[in-house]
Amino acid sequence: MTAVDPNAIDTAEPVEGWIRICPADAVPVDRGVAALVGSTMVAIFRLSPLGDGPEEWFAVSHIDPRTGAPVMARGLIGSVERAPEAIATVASPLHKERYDLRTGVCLDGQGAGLEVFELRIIAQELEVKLPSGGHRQET
Amino acid sequence: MVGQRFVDELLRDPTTAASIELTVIGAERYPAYDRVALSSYFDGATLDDLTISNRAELARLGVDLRLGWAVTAINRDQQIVELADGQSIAYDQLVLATGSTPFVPPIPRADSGGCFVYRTIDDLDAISAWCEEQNVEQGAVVGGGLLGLEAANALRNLGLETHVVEMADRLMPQQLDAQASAMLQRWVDELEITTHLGFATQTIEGEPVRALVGSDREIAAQIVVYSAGIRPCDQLARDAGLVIGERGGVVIDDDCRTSDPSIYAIGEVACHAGQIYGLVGPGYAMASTVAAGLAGESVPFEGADTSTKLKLLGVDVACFGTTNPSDDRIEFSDPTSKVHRRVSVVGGLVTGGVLIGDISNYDVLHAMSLGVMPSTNVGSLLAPANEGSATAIELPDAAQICSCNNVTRGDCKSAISEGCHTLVELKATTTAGTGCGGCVPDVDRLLQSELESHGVAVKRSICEHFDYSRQELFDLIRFHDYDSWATVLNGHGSGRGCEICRPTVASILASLSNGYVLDGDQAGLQDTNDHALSNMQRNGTYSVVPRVPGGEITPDQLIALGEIARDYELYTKITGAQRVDLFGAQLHELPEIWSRVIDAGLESGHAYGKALRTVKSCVGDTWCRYGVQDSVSMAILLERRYRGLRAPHKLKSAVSGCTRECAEAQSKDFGVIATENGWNLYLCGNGGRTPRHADLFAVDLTDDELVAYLDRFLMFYIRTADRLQRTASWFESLDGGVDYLRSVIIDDSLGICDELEADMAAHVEQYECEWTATLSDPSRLNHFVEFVNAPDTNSVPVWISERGQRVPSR
Ligand SMILES: Cc1cc2nc3c(=O)[nH]c(=O)nc-3n(C[C@H](O)[C@H](O)[C@H](O)COP(=O)(O)OP(=O)(O)OC[C@H]3O[C@@H](n4cnc5c(N)ncnc54)[C@H](O)[C@@H]3O)c2cc1C
Ligand code: SF4
Repeated sequence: MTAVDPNAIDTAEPVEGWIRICPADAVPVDRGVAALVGSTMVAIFRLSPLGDGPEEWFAVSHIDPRTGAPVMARGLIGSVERAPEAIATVASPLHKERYDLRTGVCLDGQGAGLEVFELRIIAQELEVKLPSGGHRQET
Repeated sequence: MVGQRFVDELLRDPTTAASIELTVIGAERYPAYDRVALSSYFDGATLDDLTISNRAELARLGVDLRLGWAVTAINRDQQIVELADGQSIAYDQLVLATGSTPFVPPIPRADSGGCFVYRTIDDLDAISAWCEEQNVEQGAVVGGGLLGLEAANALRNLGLETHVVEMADRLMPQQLDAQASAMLQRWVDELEITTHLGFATQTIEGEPVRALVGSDREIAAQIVVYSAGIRPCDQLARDAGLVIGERGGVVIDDDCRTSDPSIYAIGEVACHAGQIYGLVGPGYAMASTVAAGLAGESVPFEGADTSTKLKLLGVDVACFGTTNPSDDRIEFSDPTSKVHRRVSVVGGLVTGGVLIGDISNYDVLHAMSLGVMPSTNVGSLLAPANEGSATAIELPDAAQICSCNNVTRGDCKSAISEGCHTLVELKATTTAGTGCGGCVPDVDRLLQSELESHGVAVKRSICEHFDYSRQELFDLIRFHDYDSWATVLNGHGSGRGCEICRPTVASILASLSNGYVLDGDQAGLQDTNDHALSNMQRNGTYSVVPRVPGGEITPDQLIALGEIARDYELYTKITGAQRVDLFGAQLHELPEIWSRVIDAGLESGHAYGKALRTVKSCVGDTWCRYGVQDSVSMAILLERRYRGLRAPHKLKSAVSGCTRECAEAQSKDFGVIATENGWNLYLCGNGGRTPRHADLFAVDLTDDELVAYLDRFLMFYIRTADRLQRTASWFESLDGGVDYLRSVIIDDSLGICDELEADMAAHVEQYECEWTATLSDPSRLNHFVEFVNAPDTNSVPVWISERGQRVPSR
């Protein structure tokens, strides 16, 4: 079994460009999953459509900013109605702070935010891109 | 605490935060925690629960936090402070918030082994470790003041025979006069804490301690806790030559500056106008003064009100204003209900008072003593609250609502009219209710009545996505027979829901027996613990709690649990509910671990759900000489019947085999005590933070009657309670109390008993162990893969070893 130490600074080869994760269908709706991109832990959310809108996808850091535990994918998703639109959110499973899934900003208090990652679906495959020049996992 | 508040206030303004280089030095190893709630640490609260400082946030703002280091000297000439390890840190402005230390009376052998003080988390850890290691049976507290009584209660909760010695002729001599103290004494006596008044401790006997010796008697005790007052921690300031008050404390002016203009002092270490404040409220006010001062504003500290309202040993106590022997008094005393209420009146105006056992109308009387409202109808306000007469009195805006943070009703009202329409917003904006939290119900009531008067529709809606209370939502789901989140949301909600309504709907669907909780769209509704059918711990790993019905377990099962724990290196602890809790399992290990638990003949304990926990039991007449019924069999019967039953909150229960009550059934949501003729049923008790003795509901029941009443009671609670409302507070909210409950459950006054029983029958019929169900379907195991794209790779938590077991690193 391979190990990823969440508290170690990434020393692995930098991971560049779009990385294939899994078939888009393997991600359940409205319940996050975690993925490993290089040694960065990413939480991926696939949200059911709002009204007539499309399905929405998000990728953010899997690390809970407040405690450093790798758990964000296990948080509850939801929305906050803030005119003009609804903000998609995830709440930390540990202390329940909510984060804006698009920007990563913490909506409860002034705590640190979540890092957000780019994500796309190409030929039914889900892909994630880390910021260029490799990436250090924040803990 | 006050230091932390200062830091929070200072950094609240982003420009200040960016321009200031802040170093925080604390002698304790932990980030700031809520000392006021210290005793709850013995009641199950963890250090995390008590922590009030957000380390990640401080780090983000660039605060240099040095914990576990004491400042040893202040060098005012060079403007540096020195640390114990020889380092020095420069300052432009220095804030002292060193608090106080408990005073240990100068008696021979005061520091023998087994003698402690009661001030810090470390003190509490040391006290419980000592009690355990030394098998302590008797304990004594020196000092019968507020903190002494709190310490005594803590010893009592540790199961000790507890004594309190007090030099004066009464308990809480500083705050209470003889009569009020006598009434408090009755409450204390009832708790079987022995009080020794007029007792001057002369020496400690033994090393480690064996007894406390006074002039006329000796009290056997293997632990002694001193609570004989506090002394400001002002040595640093003394050494540095700052001006010190007559009775200690660093002298400050209205800006909280000491005699050195670049040094401030706040909190319990400060002495303002000759007074040292031993309460957080005034300390917080000083913190605001200094934070404002550093940001260039002037918010002078002009002294503070020392009124207090608190729950001491489960008794409501309030003292306010001042009282002199020559004042006129209006009093009400009722020894049978142990209530004493007195106010002092001078020239027709209320100046102060004391309330014991019943603190209704405290806010009105307190406001009168501060002169912010006229002293009218004092006599009828003082009469004890009788039903129906509930406060129709309009308090003035100047009246305080939150004493910890000195927030007035007027502050709250203006925040509400400026748009704070939820409790969360109101608390964040005004800080009301963010101290000890005692005033939160008042703040909420004020909010609701203000909204009503502003014409804002007051909906007890659970969140922004549903315009319904939990009870209304339950009725809707039951009526329409909904079986998925999508149908509920489309029918009655909006948006995507949130972390409040999703678990609420999940729980209602589960209470109404809608199958495996992680199937279909219910998977995305489950709260943190239900999400993985195990309890998430602070480092993201889980604990596993198998069901041990009634606390009865075979040696083979116990061995199997031991082997599982050993194989997976799980930290093992016996819980208060007669079960075994195995900590530190990772998400991907859960299926294997639970499968071994099930192979050992055990099943899911549902410790992760807001559901029935355990039905605890004593051994009953099978073994016990006193037992009159088989309490174990009854506990097992009840636990098997109600296992897996999801409810608005967790449910605890116990069965005792006779009136000696070894299983503590009266502190449970439903408790059963055996009698010669059957079972007595007690409902709606609670332990934990706000203990409540259960009400005796029915006596001498047969087994069948007991089960029928419980079926109805539990389903009635599940139908009508608010989200996260325990049975105790649900009961308090029922108009008509226990008589009403009897009319619904025994006399079927609402005509719903058949429905309630049918719902319960459906639950019993459809119950399945959720882990057996998980393991029986390979597709359900996908929920327990950590990384979707790397099923064989897992994160590695950082562990350390403590007393031979693996625990998360700090
Ligand atoms: C059991 C208990 C119950 C209480 N209940 C209530 C209540 O109901 N209501 C109420 O208003 N108040 C209550 N209090 C009092 C309240 O806790 C204090 O008023 C409050 O903690 C004071 O805050 P402070 O910051 O001045 O001191 P503290 O909270 O004591 O903080 C001072 C800190 O400074 C550190 N320190 C000291 N010297 C140094 C040094 N040289 N270098 C570095 N660090 C140093 C100390 O280790 C400590 O951590 C209670 C206290 C206790 C112990
Ligand atoms: S409650 Fe009664 S029967 Fe049960 S152990 Fe205690 S004394 Fe024995």
